Amino acid sequence: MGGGTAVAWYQAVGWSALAAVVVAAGSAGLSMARRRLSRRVQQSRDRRRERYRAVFEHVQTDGTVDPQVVPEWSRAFSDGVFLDLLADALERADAEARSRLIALCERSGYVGRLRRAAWSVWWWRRAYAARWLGRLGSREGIADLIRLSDDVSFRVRCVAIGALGSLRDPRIEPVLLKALDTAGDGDKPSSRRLVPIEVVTAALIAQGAAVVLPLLPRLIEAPIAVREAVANILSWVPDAHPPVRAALLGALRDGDAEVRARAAQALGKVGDVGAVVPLAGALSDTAWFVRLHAARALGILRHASAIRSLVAALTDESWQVRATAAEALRRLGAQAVPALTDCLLTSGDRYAKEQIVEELQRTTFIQEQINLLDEAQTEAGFAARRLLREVARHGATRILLDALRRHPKATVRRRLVDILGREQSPRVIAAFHDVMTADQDAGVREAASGALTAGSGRPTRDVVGRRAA
Amino acid sequence: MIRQVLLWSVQAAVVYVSVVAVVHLLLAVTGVWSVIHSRRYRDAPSRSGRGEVSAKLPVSVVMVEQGDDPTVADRIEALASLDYPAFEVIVVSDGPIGAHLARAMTRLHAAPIDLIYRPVIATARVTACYHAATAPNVVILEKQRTTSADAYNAGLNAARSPFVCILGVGSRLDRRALSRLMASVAEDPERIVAVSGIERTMCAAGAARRPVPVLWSVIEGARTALTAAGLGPILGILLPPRGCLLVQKKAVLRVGGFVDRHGAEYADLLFRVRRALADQRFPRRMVFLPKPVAWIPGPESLTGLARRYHDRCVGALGCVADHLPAGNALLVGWRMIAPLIDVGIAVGVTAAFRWGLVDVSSLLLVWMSLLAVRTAYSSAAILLMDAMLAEDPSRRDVGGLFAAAVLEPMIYRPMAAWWTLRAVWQHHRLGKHARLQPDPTTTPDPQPV
Repeated sequence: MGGGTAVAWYQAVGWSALAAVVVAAGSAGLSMARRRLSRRVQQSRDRRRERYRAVFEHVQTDGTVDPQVVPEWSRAFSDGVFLDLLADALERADAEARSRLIALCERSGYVGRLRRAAWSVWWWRRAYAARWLGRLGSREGIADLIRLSDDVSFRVRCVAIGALGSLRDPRIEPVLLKALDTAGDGDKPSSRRLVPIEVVTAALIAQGAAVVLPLLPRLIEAPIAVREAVANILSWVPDAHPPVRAALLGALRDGDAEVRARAAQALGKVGDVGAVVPLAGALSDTAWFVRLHAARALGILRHASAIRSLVAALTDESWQVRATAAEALRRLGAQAVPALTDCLLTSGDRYAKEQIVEELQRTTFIQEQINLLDEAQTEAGFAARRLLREVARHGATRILLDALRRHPKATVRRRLVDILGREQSPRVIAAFHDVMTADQDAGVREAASGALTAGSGRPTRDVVGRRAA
Repeated sequence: MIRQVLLWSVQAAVVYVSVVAVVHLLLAVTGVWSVIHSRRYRDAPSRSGRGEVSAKLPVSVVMVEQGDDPTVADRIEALASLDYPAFEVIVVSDGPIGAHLARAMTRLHAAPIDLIYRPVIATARVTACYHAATAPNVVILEKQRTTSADAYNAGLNAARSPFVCILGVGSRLDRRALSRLMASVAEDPERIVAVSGIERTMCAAGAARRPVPVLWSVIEGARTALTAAGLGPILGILLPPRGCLLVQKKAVLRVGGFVDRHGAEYADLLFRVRRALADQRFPRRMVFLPKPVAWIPGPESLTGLARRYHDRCVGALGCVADHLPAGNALLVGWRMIAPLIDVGIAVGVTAAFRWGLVDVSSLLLVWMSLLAVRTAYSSAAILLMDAMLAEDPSRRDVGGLFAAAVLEPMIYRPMAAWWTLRAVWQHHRLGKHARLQPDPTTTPDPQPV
């Protein structure tokens, strides 16, 4: 490379490298500046938080309010850290401390400032006022919140509806119901953006049982979105009154799957035994999540009349439904055992039986039945033996063999040898050999030896097959 | 004549480098836009196109354990406690259960059970199934040792959910990964067939500071995330991830799962799914979610980085060769051999300058594009990751990352070019050997139907 060319090349590469360094240094500077700024802000917030925390502790623990605190509070209302702490304190405080905090806010003039801000021309000021009026729960602010729930700004309306949800007043209920009806007309063309139905639903859920009765007619004749919202509210606010139960049972036959699912959920929470049969019917619904909620509800209700349907649900196409049904049967315990045994004995569908056995293995149901073997004289122990024999017959021997090797009680191990004695798979024979040589209990060793001897005298499946051929 | 051809070649190289630089800058812009746009996805949405669904779609997470990984217990426990309401974890042990997995199983109170295993995709024999009593959503399969592709296929067979999250070897899922991935699926569960997200590199356990190979690995991850976020909205392409991939089980079964010869290469699976579903009435979608979903282990040394890059390159080149001339295969192939092209152009243009074929402005343009623009893109990716993850890294980490970003085009890129060259050579040799018949004595027993 000639001298001039080399210099030019060095210059080109040098300028490029320099540009790369400048770019990286600039980016690193940006990153460091951001980091330093965020750390400074954080430190400053921490200092202020510590200062305010002492004031809050004083107000919350001491019944009397120090007059010196009031002017300090009026200054602090413009500080975000203070407001965060105040919101946190209002959420955590008991009723007495909460009323003291609210009284202090009113004496400091904060509620008055918020009410003035509710008339601001800026939407963010109005939204801020709505949020804090809701948090403070001052009765003076309810009228402002109701006015803001019909504000021109979408965001202010959302915040005001959410804030109204946290307050208790007879004036609020009609406002929220009207908002629900309006939000349900989401498909109709509207001049302004509607408040999302989730916001209204959350506000109505926060109102609790007070709004349940006026909502019931909407569960029958309102648009789908409203029906879904009402069913959702009823699932969060379980109410055992007869009209509510009747409405929920009706909703279980609704045309919309979401309404049916929520109704099943609500019926489970209500604990209505009269709902067992409709819920068992819902186990054959077309939507998987309706079946899931019905199985969950039946697991909560724990009623014997649902057992057959739950056993049938063990072969559902959705694994979540199968798992929930198995869990529900496990909760039913000994009551469910005869039905399961009958199903395994009588059903002609091999795949269904294998599926049932698999689902039972995935819960602790079989373990619990193995533990019941200790009480062999009782009816439960006898039923458990029958069921486990069927489980073993359908090829699920590993879990039993594992228990045979590890179960602490010799009685249970002996019963397991008895249950598994009819199985002649190599796995079982190998396990019997292990038990025969290594088990601590002489009775178990003898039982295993007896099972092996009986097994060797008995014609094996291959022999039977050859004879049949 | 020769001089003219050389001149045209050099000019083409200059144009190529400039176009790539401009495309990278555009990708940075679209990537940032995509990140801002993606904020509409909440982490736990339940609203789909058909309305609110009161129960979330279940997911099966498939994890393959090979070589007795000492961290397997922590990984399984982390998976079992993911923040999602309906999921199952299927751990496939490729080969006999090792000491560490056995210890993990004892911790989980796993007991052997007889599960129904239907080999929809043919795999080697599954010898045992275990179910964890303390984590009822965890199932462990023990199968004959074969390949990682076969192990993943066994996991796919055992998966019961319509969506399967396939976890890379050694990777971990973010606690909210399933919520994030399924949030985009919930918008259109029928059409979305694959989702992936940002994968972050983790240091070795107990490491006080990040070594240089890890820094380069972090930068590469950040660049890949920015590129994927930028390309997604423009071309609808999902760059093949390394850590985790959420796929529609139906679509994967339709293409027969992973193929042995590519060693569980996600790119190959995505190409085949795209091709198989090309005739559908409504186009299927593959989504990149610009949110962190997985952690991949960082290389412990430069040798580890080289080995990993080389393996990835060999796998990607193998599947790209099978799927050419598909557009996305071209893109993946180009990304793999780009270091080689860049180094070739740098050397070629310098030589051309020496012989007087190009002037100093072209030389400056090429070097600016190769050094400054690449550093700018890396810096943008790092800044975006920092801002998006809202982290507060130490001063040393920030300095180290940007220093590595400056050195990356000068040191890492030529090394990557060398590793790529070796991978291309090995791929060429493997192509010859693939024509030989496999040894029948090493063929494992197939799982009986």
